[in-house]
Amino acid sequence: MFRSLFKKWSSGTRKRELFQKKVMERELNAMDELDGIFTEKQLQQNIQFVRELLGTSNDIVIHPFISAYKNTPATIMYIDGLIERTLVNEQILRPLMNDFRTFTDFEEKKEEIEEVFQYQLISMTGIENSNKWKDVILGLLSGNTILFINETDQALIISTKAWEARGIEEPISESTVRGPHEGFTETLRTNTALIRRKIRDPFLRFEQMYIGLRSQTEVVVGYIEGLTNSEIVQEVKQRLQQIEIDRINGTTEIEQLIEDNTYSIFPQIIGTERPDMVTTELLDGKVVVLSDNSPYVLVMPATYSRFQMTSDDYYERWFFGSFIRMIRFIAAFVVIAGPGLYICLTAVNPELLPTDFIISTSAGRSGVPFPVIVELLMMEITLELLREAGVRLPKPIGQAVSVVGGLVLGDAAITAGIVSPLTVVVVALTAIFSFTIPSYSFGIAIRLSRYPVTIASALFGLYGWLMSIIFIFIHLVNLKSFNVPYLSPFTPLTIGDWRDNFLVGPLKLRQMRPQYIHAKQLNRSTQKNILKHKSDNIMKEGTESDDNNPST
Amino acid sequence: MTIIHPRDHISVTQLVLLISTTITTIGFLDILEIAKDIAIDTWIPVLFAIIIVPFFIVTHIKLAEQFPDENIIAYTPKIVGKWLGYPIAFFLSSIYFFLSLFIFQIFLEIIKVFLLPKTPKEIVIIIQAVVLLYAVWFGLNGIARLAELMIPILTLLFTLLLFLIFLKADYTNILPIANNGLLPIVKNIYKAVPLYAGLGCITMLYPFLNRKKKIGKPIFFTVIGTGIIIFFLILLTMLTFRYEVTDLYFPSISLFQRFTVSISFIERIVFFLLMIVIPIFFIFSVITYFLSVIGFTTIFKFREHTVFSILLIPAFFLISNIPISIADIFWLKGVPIWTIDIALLVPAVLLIILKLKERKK
Repeated sequence: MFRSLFKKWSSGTRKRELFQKKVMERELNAMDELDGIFTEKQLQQNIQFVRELLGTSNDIVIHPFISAYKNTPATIMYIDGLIERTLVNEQILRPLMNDFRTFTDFEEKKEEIEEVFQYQLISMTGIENSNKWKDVILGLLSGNTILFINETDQALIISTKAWEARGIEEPISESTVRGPHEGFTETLRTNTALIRRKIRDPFLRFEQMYIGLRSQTEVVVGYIEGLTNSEIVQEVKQRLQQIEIDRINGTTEIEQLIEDNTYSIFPQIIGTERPDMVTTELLDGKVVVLSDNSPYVLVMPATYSRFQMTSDDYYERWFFGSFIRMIRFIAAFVVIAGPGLYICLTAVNPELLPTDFIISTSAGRSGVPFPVIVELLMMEITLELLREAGVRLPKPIGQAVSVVGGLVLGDAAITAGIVSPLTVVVVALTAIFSFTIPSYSFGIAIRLSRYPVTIASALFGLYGWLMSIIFIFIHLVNLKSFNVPYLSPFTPLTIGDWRDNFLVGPLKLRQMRPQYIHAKQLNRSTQKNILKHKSDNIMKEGTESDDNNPST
Repeated sequence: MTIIHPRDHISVTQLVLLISTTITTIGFLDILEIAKDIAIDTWIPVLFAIIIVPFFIVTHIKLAEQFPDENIIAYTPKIVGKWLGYPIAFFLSSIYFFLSLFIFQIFLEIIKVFLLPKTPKEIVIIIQAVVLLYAVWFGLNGIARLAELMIPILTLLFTLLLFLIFLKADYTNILPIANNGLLPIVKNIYKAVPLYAGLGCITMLYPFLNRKKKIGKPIFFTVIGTGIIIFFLILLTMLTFRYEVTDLYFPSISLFQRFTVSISFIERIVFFLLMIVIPIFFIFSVITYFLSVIGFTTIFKFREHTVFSILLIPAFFLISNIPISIADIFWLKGVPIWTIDIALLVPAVLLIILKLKERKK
């Protein structure tokens, strides 16, 4: 036993020495290097360690003081700007330095000194103690206050996080008419609270992990236990754990690192700023990923049709919801196929059109010096530039540039004889159709897909158009999001899921969860499932406790 | 043992749609071959074929059920021995390859006649080969989903177009029925049976099915249903063209070309027909190409189908490039049409041999 203890101690000391050497030589590159290194009993050694590790940054505050309890020397550390200073002064320092009310009782109880500090002196919640440097440093850098006490190797990590943050506002990219006007923020806890407020289910789980070797970004995996398919939960966690990168700026980067097909232009994970959408998805049996510093919450698995849905579809009457959603599906197809079809019918295979139509299009194009493909691409790229300018410029100027640019440029181009009026109509219609796609990233994918289709149509007419569309279909049918086919429920066909897909069925008929997600409970309305899950858990716990009981 | 990747499992609905695609495609093109000898009575052998087809369905399913985890290529040598089994397996795999080529050759001609008269054939072949390889690369599941996504819509549109013509047809043109007697009609039944060449999917793809019981009914109704649609297509073609049919390259497409609908934009319905038949032909080409790939992969005991997917592409390109007269296309590049009849009869023969062997034991 003594030998093993000695080995443990000596290996820890060796690790610490190596670590300090790395710190001195600035070879340290990851928080994981701190694994297996423990805090010392000597206060000065701990302070020295932190100073060596964090250097001379002026935002790190190290404040030594003498506690009123047995005149024990102690030190608090925090990062200025990440903590609430009033809390530290009033709830930590003040009781420890000035309050002598019950100090005489402690000696009788013979408790460890850090426990006295934690449970009896500091009047705050969210206090953890640890002797692992990894926890301590991560806590410090995350905005906690660290309390080192002399003659104890346990450091107290006190939650005092508070920093300037944006308030809850309506998401710009996902506004709604009749739905709630609140959106996620860059603060992780605010976001989890927004979800908790809407789902008061005891089985809602938020599991925390840190990603990014240097950024150590806090990431949370959310799901409802007993409802969400555990294979998907495991898959999500596994993919997150496999991420090896120095920094994560937010969920959009996580999305790129965990999606099934990196080389597809179609997004395979939904990113939303709306708490109500995330709530709906969680209750459908999906998994969500939240990250600190990002107002976008990832929802997975995602399907093609899910990108065509908005929260307004559910807040309106189902007739209108269905109608508008159908229009969105058609609009997406028109955006991809429309310009290509226009080119193949006017430039390559005009014989397929009725004679009157050919005459009128030819008359419109008389005097235009460029082939249709050139004028179409010219207009498409100009429109993309206008759109980009509108996004980058300040909002009022951006809108003016988009409107004026579109109107003036279009009219001038027709008058100058550079493009035909019909081309402008096609480009404008395509642009309007593309605006109906609710998801920003999906809209980009749809807009980009039309370029190969347009070029193929210009080269090979109707044949090129059809083959390029078939190519996109082949790509889509083979695409998966966390092992769920992207085109579900169209293929593989599950008619039951059409009640809330291409159409929005009446709420009364939408009692079943989507089958393609393979949620553990298909029926939304019945209480039996919930009770069953509860009893299963109780039975499981009972069995486990029986197994642990030596008498059985 | 057929190597089945977990991603390759398909549903009965998907299998049924794959078979339906093959019937529709061949139905579009087989007409000229039958019409050569019996002209306006062409529809009668097609009707007979519908009556015969349950026999093929039953034999295919019964045989497949005997070896639920293997395809016909894998178990043929087990039934008839290696020396006879491997040539049969090779024959079946080749038939699918040539069927794919056959349809593609017609596909090329349609594109040349209707869409791209001046574009070099090689370019179209390269595009086709690339897209075909992309479709086959991901395996059966992707192909089945592609068919599941597109075929119902295309079939619906096609039936709608057929209905428009149905209203305008002159039914007195069907007369006289069997003017030259019944013998020439009976002799031509074998040319109508290849319409159901796609039934080979049953014995080839049975191991990939995620549900192997009660597949008879859906297959039966789909095959008969599609057969009836094709029967009407052929009937309407004969009603429209009568004896002229043998002078046409693509009677079924010419049928749609002849009719116009007075609704401004869809005045020329041949345009819509091309939008329907090109994807159908392409999916047929992919299905048959994949069947041949699976066949050769099983014969040579490869682990992944991707090897043969690539290996067969050069052959596909080269054979497609051989100049050929349009009249000869219907002979499957020199392979007579009755070989498909034989391919369809193989499961029945194998089943009989299997049963005899079991009885001896």
